[in-house]
Amino acid sequence: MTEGKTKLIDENGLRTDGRRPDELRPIRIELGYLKHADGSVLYEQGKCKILVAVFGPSEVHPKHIELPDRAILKVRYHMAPFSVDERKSPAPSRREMELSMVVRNALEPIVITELFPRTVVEIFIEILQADGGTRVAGLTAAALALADAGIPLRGLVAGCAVGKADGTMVLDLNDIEDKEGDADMPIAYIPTMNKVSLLQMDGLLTRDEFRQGISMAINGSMRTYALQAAALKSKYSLPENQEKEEM
Amino acid sequence: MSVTRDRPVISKVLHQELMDLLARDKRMDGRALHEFRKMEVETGMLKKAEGSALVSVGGTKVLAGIKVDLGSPFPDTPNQGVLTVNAELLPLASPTFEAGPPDERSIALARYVDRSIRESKAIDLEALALQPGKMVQVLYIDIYVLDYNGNMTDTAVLAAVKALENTNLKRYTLEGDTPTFNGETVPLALKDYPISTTFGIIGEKFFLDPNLEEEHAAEGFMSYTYTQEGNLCAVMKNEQGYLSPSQIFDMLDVGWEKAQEISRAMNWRKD
Amino acid sequence: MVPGEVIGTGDNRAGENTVKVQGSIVATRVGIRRGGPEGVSVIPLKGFYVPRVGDMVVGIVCDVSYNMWKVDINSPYFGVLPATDVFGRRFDPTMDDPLKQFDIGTVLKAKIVAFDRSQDPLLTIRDQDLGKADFGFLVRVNPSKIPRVIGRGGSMLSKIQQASNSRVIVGQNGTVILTTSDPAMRDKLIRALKLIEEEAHVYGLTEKVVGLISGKVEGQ
Repeated sequence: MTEGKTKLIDENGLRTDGRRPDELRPIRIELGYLKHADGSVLYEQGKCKILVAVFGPSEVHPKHIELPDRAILKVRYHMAPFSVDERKSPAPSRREMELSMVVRNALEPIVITELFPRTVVEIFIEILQADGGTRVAGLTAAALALADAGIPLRGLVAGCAVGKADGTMVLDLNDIEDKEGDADMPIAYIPTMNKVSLLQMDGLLTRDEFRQGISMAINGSMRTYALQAAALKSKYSLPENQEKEEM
Repeated sequence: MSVTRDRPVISKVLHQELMDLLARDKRMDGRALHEFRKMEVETGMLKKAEGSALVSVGGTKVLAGIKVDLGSPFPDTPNQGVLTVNAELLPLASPTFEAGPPDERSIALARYVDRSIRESKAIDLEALALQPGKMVQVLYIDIYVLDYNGNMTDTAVLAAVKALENTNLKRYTLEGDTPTFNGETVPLALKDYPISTTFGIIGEKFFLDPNLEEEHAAEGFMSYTYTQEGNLCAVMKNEQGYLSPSQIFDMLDVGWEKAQEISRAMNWRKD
Repeated sequence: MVPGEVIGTGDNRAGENTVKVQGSIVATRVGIRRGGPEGVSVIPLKGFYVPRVGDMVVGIVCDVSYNMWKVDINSPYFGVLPATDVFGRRFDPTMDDPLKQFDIGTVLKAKIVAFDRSQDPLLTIRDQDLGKADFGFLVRVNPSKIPRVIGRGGSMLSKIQQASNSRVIVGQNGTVILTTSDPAMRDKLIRALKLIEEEAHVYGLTEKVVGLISGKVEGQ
C-alpha cells in the first residue's frame, strides 16, 4: 500500500470512477463462452475481464493423488501477461499460488465432492484484464462456471472486496483504490447458507471499520449473487418454478 | 495450480471425543476454549544472523532469522528500504512437508507474516533508505518451521517480531556513492509489535490456538493480527470450510483480548 | 432453480439433484423443480452420467489389458469389461487375445452389472441385444435428457424410429447410435436429438420432433 497523492474520494463523496461508496461496478455475465469446456463463463466486473473454464469430474492423473471418498479440486488462478499495466511474466507468481489456494478453499465447501469420489474437477481462472478485486471476481465467475458445467453444488458463492479510501469504507475496489487505499478486504459469501468461505484483509483498519467492512461486503456479495442467479436462469430460459409434467 | 490435499486420517474415536468435549466447551489437552499453549521465546541465538528468535507454542517450534543486506529500492518506493519474507516448512517438521520449492502453504504463511509486519508499520522502512532511489537496506526475514504441531501462523508472526526486536543494523557512512560500514550497529527500533491470534473452527464452535489433532479435525481457520492499539493489520481465513458472520465478529473480540495478554507477557504493554 | 435455492422443507423426501442444507432441501443443479408424492427433485439442464446398475450404455473401447477392456462410457468413471465376460470362465490368457476380439475404438453396447463408489463400473455384454456395434453414427446427448429421448413407455423413441424408418439405439449414458445409412436422415435425426435436448421441458415436443424427421416442418 503506497502513499498515494491521488484523491480517491472527491468533494461530492464520489470515487475516482464516479461511484458512490456503496456502489458495485457493472457486471456482465456470458455463460457457456467456451464450447469445449464442460462449463465456462466470460465474466466482467467494471474493467476486470475474467475467463473461467471448468472440466470434470474426470479421472485423476496422477492416480495417487485421488481421494477414495470424494472428488479433488484443481484450481488455477492466473493473470495473463497483458492483464496489467506492466507486463507480468507468465510464470506463476507467489501471489498467484496463494490466491489459487485461497480460491480453492472458498470453492471446496460448495462443491458436493462426496458424490463422485476418485475424480477431479478442474477450474481454470484466467484474468485477462485486472482492475482490482480479481480474486473475488474470479471466484464469483468460478461458481457460475461450475453451475454451468452441471457440477452438483450446495449453493453458489459470490464475492466482493471492500477497502478504505480517504477514510471512507468503499465497496468493490477498483485498481487505484486497491493500490493507494488503506485496506483491501476481499470476502466470499454463500447467501443461501449465510456463510463466509473466503476472507482476507490487508491494510490497517480499526475493529469497527472491520465490522463495517464485513457487513458492506456481505451486502455487496448478496447483490452479486442475485445477478449470478438471474444469469443462470436466463441462459436456460427458466421461468420461475415451472412444474414439468410431460415426461 | 492448487490441488486438494489429502487430510491425515483421524480415528473416528478421536474425532468423536473431540466433538463431545467441544460441545461442553472443553478441549482434549485440558485447555480452556480460548487458551494459548505454553509459549517460550529465545532470542539472539544465531550469531551469523543480524537478528534471530526461536518461539515455541506448545509443540510447534518456529525459528526466525533476519539478514540485512544492501540493495536497490523498488521503483515505485524509492525512499523505502525493502522488506522480504520467506517461509520454509522443513520436511523434518512434519510428515506432510516435502522438500522442494515453496508450496502454497509456505507461501501463504510468508505472505501473512509479511502483511502483519508491513501493514502494522512496525518497521520504519524510510529509515532504511541510505541513498533514496539508489541504495537501501534490504531486510530478509526467513521463517523456518522446525516442528509442526498446530498453529504455525501465530508462532511464525511472534518469531518474526521477536527476531526483529532483537535485530541490529549496521551503520554506514557514505563516501561519494559507496556506503561503507563504519563499525557501529544500532538496534532496529520497532514502531509496533503486531500479534496474531488464530482460531480453529468446527461447526458452530471455535477455539484458540489449535494443536495438531484439533487442526486435523477443524474445518477452517481464522487468523487476526492486531497492532498494539487494537487495530487490524492482517486477517486470513485459512483452509476449506466456512464460518458465519457472527463467528467472525466473536473471534475478532476474543482475539483482541488474547493479543493484549500476549503483549503483557512480552512486556510490550505495561497495564 | 439454481444451486442452493430452497426447493422443499425437511419434511419432503430429497429426490434427484437435491441435498439437505441447514434443514431444508435445496437444488444442487440449475434446472426445473419437480414435486410429487415421491418427493422433490430437480430436472437438471446439464449433468454428467453417473453409472447405475442395470443401465444399458454405449461405450468405446479406449484401453486393453491382458484380462480386460477399459471402456469410455462418457462418465467420470471408465467402464471395465472383464475378459471372462467375453471368453467365458475358461479364459486362457495365452490363447485368447482381448485385443483381437475388440480393439481400441470398438463401439460396444453393454450393461452395468456392478458399481459402487470404491470401484469402477463393471460391464457385461452377455445379454440380448448387447455386444459390438458394427456400424452406425454416434451422437452424444446430455444424459439428463435421455429419459426424454426415450419417452414415457418408450413412446418418443418408437415414434422417432418409425418416422425415420431406422433403428436408434439409446444408451443411458447419453451416447446414441444412429443406424440409418441415409446421410440426410442422419442429419435430421441429429437435429431432432438436439431439439429434444434444448426443449425437453416444452409441451408439444413429440409432434415437433416427428415433424422434423418426416420433413414436414421446417427446421426447428
